[in-house]
Amino acid sequence: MRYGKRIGLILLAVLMLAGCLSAAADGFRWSIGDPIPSGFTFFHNDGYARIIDEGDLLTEAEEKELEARSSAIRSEHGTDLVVLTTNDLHGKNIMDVADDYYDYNGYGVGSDRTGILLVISVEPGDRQYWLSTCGSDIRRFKDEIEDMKSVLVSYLKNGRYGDAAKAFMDYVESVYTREEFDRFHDKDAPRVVDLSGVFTDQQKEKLEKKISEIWDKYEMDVLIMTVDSLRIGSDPSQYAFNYGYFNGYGYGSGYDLLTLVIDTAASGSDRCNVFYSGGGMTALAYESYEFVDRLGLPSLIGSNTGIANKFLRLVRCRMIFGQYPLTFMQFLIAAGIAFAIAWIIVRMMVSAHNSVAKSDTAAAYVVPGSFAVTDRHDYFVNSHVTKTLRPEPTSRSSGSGGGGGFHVSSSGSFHGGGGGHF
Amino acid sequence: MSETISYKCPGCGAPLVYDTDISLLRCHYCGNTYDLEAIAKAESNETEGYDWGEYNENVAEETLEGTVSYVCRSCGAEIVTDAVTAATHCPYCDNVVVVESNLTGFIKPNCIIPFKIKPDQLKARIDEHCKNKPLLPKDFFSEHKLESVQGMYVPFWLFDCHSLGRMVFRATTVRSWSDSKYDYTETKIYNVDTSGKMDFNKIPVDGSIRMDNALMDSIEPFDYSELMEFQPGYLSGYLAHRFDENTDVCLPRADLRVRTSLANSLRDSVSGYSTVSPISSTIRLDDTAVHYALLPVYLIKSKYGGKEYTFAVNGQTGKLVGDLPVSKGRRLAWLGGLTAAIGLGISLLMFFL
Repeated sequence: MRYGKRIGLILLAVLMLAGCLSAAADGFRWSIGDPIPSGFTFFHNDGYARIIDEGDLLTEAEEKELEARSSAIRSEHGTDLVVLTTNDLHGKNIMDVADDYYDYNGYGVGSDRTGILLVISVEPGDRQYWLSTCGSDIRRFKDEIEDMKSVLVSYLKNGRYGDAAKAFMDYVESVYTREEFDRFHDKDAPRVVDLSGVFTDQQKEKLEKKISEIWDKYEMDVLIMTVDSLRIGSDPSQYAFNYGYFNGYGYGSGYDLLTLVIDTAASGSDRCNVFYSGGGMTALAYESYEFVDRLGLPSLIGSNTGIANKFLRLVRCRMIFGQYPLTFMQFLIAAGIAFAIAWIIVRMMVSAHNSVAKSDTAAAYVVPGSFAVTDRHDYFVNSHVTKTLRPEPTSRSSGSGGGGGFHVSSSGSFHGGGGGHF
Repeated sequence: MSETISYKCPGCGAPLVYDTDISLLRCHYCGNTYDLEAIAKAESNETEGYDWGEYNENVAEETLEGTVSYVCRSCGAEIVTDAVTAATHCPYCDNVVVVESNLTGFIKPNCIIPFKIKPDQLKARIDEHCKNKPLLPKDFFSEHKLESVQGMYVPFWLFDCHSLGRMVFRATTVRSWSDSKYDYTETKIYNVDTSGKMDFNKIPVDGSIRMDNALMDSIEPFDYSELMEFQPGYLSGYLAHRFDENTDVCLPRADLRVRTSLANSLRDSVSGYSTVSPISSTIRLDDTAVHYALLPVYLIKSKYGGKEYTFAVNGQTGKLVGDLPVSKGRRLAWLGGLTAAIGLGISLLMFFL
């Protein structure tokens, strides 16, 4: 009886403690509109949802799929992926919201709370997003943030919020997968990967031959890939990047690879993209727009073979001269300037044919030394002063991108990341 | 009866009213104020017409013995030469039908500059004139044309004068400075009243209706140190045109050249201002005199594309003038070639820089 009472008291105490802890944890459930909690202690809470759709931008099916995906990535790679949507930031900075939401709700894996939170805000007139990295993901994604942002924006600007969240998780997973992957070279793999089936065998053979020449002469690997973005279900460029990474593409120890992706389901400027991956010619990583700019015209025409052949010509030109051929607009400008200069020169040549002109002066018949100023008076008439307002120093325009540096959140923890408007 | 004097604002043309508080004329339209004396001086000076007055015309009508006159039936030009020189064609219209006439009253020129350039030297002058003219049609000048070129003495009136001028200029100085909020520009306006004098000696104006004035202006200058007293013997081998524009007709051209030259010199003498523009001028001429001279000229005519081109050569200095035709084909070829070459150069610059 005595022992029964003691056991009963112990059980009661345990239950009360558990209840208190649970209540405490529930009490820390932090929302965007809440004030910064004082005396906060970091904690982990695996039970909270990772997909919080306050802005009601996701379908129920998408939420379920993303929740499962986040859970699977957390288990497999040890990083916590959270997606928060909202239509009201309560006047707060989106970066602070992202950091605080992550910190005060117990997200993150391990002692350094590794993970990334994606906030998508659709406040009227100011749609923006932010990626807040924490723990080891700060270093891991330091150089990846800009690429990830460009992938996200391509979906966000079209209102495809669910696809953006999926692309976010794809990207993170691919980074972790690559980190754990042992790369290799496969020179015999086909360099024309025609998943959309738009090239004939003869066309593929010709393209392969040209790519082989580039490999031999300029020590650069080239991958031409056609994909149907509606079928692959992810970002075509991300897909092509992973394809090249995991299938032995790339030249030399740096795995230098230039990839042309033609999305046969897209049109206009979204139709093709070019990117460089590798470590040997990092300058090329910043020049993908040069290729895309010059591929613009054939992409509108719609000839996939034309795009591929022009891409290879651009690669050859870049590798031989270190430069890109002129765009059509640049050529027009050069021709226009040349015509204007030529026209002026020809006009001068024509005017050189004219030597007859009436003379209105008689300077040749002035008696030398006869000119003299005999009188001069300068009369002041009046004066006036005009004043014009000086232009205000132009404030730095806010770009669509946001900083990706390290900072300390209100809770005192370190976060990285970046974001922007869409 | 009192006379009301009103002045207009030089800036906007509105009437100026004298402001007793500031002792200046004020424009109530644009707000500017002006010094009364300066405005009065400026408005009192207005540009006048030419005033050569009774110039000393050193010309006497005298029929010369031993000269023969011809009249071109085609253009009516009256041509004079000595008794032994035959005028076989008209130097103006190139017409070969020239008939002898019994014109009388050929006015004896005061002076003449004899030909120094021989016809056989013209080819070199033409070659020099056509040099570096890639747009010139090929074989524009042919040898047979040059064979028919004949030297001619063109009648010129030579005007002497002493000019006195007074000009008022509107001049401004501009000063700019800034503070943290505004940029300031102060414009000070002045009237510059300046007077000067200048002498001219023998300004030539051709006295021939048929002669293109611009063409004759362009072969100037002549070296008057070689001016000789006229002797009929100088006409031997050459033709001379009897003047058909008298001094009254030619005077405005000399007058314009005198006034422009003096005005330019007075304008150049006004320095130290940001802008200078004339608002009035008064130029007076005196000690005027006119001389009648024959000056040596070769006229060369050529046709291209149905159009006649006339070239004149100063028979004393050899200066050749005349507008050359432009070959359309060559012009297009040059335009295309230059566009391609410059375009290639710009493209290469854009490519490599």
